[in-house]
Amino acid sequence: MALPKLEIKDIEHYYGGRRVLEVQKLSVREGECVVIFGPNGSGKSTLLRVMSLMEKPARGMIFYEGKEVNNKNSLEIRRRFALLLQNPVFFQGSVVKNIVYGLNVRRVPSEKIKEKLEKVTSLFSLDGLLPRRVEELSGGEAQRVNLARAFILEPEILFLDEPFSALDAPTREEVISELKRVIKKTGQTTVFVTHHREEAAFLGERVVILLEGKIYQQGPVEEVFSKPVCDEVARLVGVETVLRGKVAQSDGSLLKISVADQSFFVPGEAKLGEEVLVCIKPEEVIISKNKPESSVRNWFRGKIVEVSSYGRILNLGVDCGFLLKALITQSSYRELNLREGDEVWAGVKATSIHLIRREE
Amino acid sequence: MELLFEGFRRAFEILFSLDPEVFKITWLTIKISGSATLIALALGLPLGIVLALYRFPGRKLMVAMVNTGMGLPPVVVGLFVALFLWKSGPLGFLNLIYTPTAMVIAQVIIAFPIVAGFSVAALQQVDPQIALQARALGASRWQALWAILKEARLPTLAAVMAGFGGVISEIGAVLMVGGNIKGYTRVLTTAIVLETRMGRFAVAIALSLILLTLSFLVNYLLTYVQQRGAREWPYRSWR
Repeated sequence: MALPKLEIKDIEHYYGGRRVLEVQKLSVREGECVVIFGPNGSGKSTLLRVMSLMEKPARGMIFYEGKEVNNKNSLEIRRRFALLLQNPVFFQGSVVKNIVYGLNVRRVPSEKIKEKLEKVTSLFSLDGLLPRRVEELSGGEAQRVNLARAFILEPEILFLDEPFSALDAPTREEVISELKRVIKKTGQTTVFVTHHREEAAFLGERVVILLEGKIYQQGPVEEVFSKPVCDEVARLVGVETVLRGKVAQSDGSLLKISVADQSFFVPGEAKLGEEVLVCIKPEEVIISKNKPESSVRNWFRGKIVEVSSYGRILNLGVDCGFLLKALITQSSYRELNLREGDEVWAGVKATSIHLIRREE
Repeated sequence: MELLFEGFRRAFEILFSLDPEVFKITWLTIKISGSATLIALALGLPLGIVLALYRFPGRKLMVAMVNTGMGLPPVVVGLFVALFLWKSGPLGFLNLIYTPTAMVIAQVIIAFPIVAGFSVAALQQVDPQIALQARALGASRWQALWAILKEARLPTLAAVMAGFGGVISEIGAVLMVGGNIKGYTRVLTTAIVLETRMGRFAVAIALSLILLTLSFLVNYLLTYVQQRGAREWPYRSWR
């Protein structure tokens, strides 16, 4: 297997005596898109600054194509990268001046600059923007210019630090789709930091979960999102119901887990009496007035105790002896003629439940 | 009133006759104050950069000293420079008292804190993220510093203007260390005082007009450059 493009080992970093980063190992391979995902204050930006050689960690080693980074070669290696900041700052002057800044500091000859400028202009459809002053750009345009000034460098690794968090939702979706398209098209090696679950799921091939400066889990995005290794990661990837349970029955491939005085059937293997966490994402819960005839193994009778709206979707809390969180569309909610306090049936397919074994 | 009108009429006569003595005084003034401003810039800007962009113990004390220095009374500067350069003073062996060099030294001491103080203000109003942004796009440390300086270039011009304006119009220091020697250390301000004392008001008025014009021209030039980058206030607002 080829050497990773970038690898960090035993990194520790401190701010004001407080440890903000403690990462044993993280590597980035050529052509992949790695998403570093974690809540605010988890050290994501710090990790990104360390990886992009903007900041020197207090401890640890960084390898670029197997070569250890040191004071002598760090600038030269850093110039193979580009970093997009959370809050982009533009230099006074025209858009074009901003876009070619990175090439100018690398002393790229002007004919080459012209050539690259043309390429990036068409890649991000910037035709009309080039002569304008940066102050005149809208938020979305500014982000495209910001992307362009990184992409024009054709960086070996592109680092992005939540570059779109200040944008409104439609603009953000647009810019992110644009970014994904360009990354796919150019095979750009990318490291993306975000606290948005949707962004992480949409962009990532490999996702790295960072919590309190430590990597809690990493792997393919589908795996991490469907099989979180612990409570904290589960909540981060969108599991809203996490229940403590005990294995009450185990017959080969199907487990019976008792939670409160209810039981869940979940495929899997575990020891009898073992403590587990039952993880259920709200979008996996079916709400029904009557208990339907279906293949769904787990049905619970419960009472709607919470209804809150995030626009198109309603969040329900159903008290089934434990609190089960569910999502339901506005139209289904009306169709079923539901209201707070109603008794309903809530169903979860056995295969939609993820178990976290606590004694592993 | 007679005195005033007659004075101005004669003053314009002197100006249009291109009097060589007046020309000499003006040229010397420009040379002395111009070089003093440039030296002050060369010393004050680096100090301003250090004080604005780096944090170290004693920084606040130094900023306070620079700010005090911005209002340094020229006569006090003149006194101490004179004491140092006096024949029997610590630097007397240099034989600089009553020379143009002594005047430049005194003016540098006056202008230096002004330039440094204005530079600190100019650099501190630059978005601190600029350096980070420059480095994120591949700038070295020096290139990142340069990016900050470029962002502050227009307000830094104010430092130059203020420095030059301060020294070209001061008299206390140049009189004390230069001595107002005709054809050697006589500059516009010292000449104006001398002519006024001797009752030759027309000459004094003529020299004053030159001094005013000079300082206007320099400021106009710098303002022009500075305002080239200025933008219109972006929106209409209610009172």
